[in-house]
Amino acid sequence: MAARSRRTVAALAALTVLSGTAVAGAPASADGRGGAGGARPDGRIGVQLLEATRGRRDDPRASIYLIDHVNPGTRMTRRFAVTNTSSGPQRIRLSVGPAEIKENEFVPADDPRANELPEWVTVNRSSFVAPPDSTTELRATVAVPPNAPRGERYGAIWAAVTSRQKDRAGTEIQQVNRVGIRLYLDVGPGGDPPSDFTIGDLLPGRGDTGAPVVRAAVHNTGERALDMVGKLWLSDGPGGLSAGPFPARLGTTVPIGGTAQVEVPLDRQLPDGPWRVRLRLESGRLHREVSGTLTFPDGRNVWGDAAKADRYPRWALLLAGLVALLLAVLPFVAFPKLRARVRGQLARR
Amino acid sequence: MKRTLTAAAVVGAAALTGGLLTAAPAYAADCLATVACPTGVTFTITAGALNITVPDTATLTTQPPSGSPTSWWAFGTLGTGVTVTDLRASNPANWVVTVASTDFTHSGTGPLISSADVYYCSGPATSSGGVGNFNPGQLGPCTAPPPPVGVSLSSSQTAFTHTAGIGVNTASWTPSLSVQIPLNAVAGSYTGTITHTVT
Repeated sequence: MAARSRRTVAALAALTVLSGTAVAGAPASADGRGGAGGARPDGRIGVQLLEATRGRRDDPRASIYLIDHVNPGTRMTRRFAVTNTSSGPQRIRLSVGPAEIKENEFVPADDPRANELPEWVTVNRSSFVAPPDSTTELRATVAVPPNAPRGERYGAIWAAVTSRQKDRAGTEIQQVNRVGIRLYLDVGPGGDPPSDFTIGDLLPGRGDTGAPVVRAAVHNTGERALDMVGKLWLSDGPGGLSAGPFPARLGTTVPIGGTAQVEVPLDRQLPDGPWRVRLRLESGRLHREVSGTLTFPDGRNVWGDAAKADRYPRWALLLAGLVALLLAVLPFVAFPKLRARVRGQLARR
Repeated sequence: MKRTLTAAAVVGAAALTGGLLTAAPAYAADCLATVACPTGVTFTITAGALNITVPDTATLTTQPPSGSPTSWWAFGTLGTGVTVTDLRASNPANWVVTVASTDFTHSGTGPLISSADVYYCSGPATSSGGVGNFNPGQLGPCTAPPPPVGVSLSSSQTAFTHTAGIGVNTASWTPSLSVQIPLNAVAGSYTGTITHTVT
């Protein structure tokens, strides 16, 4: 099946190699300039998810990706749509392929058998002709066998469109463009495994151009992949300045157990500081925040001292613990009567 | 007895302190760990689609031989380019475009051109709109070979990414392709597929 569809894909274009001339050493004839044919620049195909699990209503990732936790031996269906916004009919081919998280990017896997998703997920049509300016509703079925091992799998439901071959003997390359809905399917007994991440030290620095930047490491400590977004705020700067929010730049997807570098490029006109800094990162409903005080170093390509974290300093927590300890013990020490009463009750037992 | 009580209190308080110190509540799951998650109940999503252009056929031009040893290249832009339009209006609104190539096969008896000899260069965005960072996979400038500019497509490569994105956004670029033609190629035509994938 896979091989067949690949062969269909390979209904391709031609790159005429004037090797006869090449051997003769004569200059290749200029047989047409590169590319720009008569394609409509506005013609597009698209995919969109139409429904998601009710329990994930407040998770923004769940409305664009198929993110679910399923138990072995269960089955579910999801509606999705393929849109054709070009002015002509388009043959759309649908498929399900495995994906992987490589260098913090969610990308299709090179190995078509990288995981079981192509077997577990099926779409009710494999190919159809989408009329111009149409939306076609389709249905994907996820059927996980009872003996499926636990763990999270990645994949995508692909809708692909192939360029029309114009001239078999010409110097064309045919192209396939695919657009997909990501699948983050976790399999296992019981409920959803926890998602969590930690943010490392905030490191102030300056890049090649001398513009300030704040860097931190994000570590995925949960059991599901994360799609991170984040913002950084500066406040209490020199002269009471505040700035931000600045969007964080980071790899889009952090695998389980993986680490991603977050960088927040800032405006080079910002004074060195000291600043109070707050970084908030989130993935779906989960969010974490760190804050601290930092000063940007001078120069280019330099890194300063890590920000002094001030949100929950360890000594404050220790102090809180000691206070709690005192409060717990104090009544027994201070009131001998209370002590005697508790002792009496224990003795009666 | 008093010592026992005090010890118990100390242990309790220590546990409390420990709890405070390591307090990082894991994200509450949708359903209890002991109960199966209901996936049959759904809600309807009303956002738009993630889109990619319908591709056009592309033409590569054979370059005059050059270099030492002599190498032959075909070079050209991939049609009118690629446009990704993200109408999902979501946060995060991130996407990744990867590009892959098949081996190029000859119409006759000529040798294969391995996908490792196919080089892709995305070049900068020709236009973009919306919030976020639009990152071309290969900055360019995508000049004609030799030497080939860009990445070899022996395995799939990142062509373009959109990160730290929020809401509706779009980006276009016009990639170019360089294909090294084997010196023992015979007259005829080569066929291969370039696949752009966005998710």
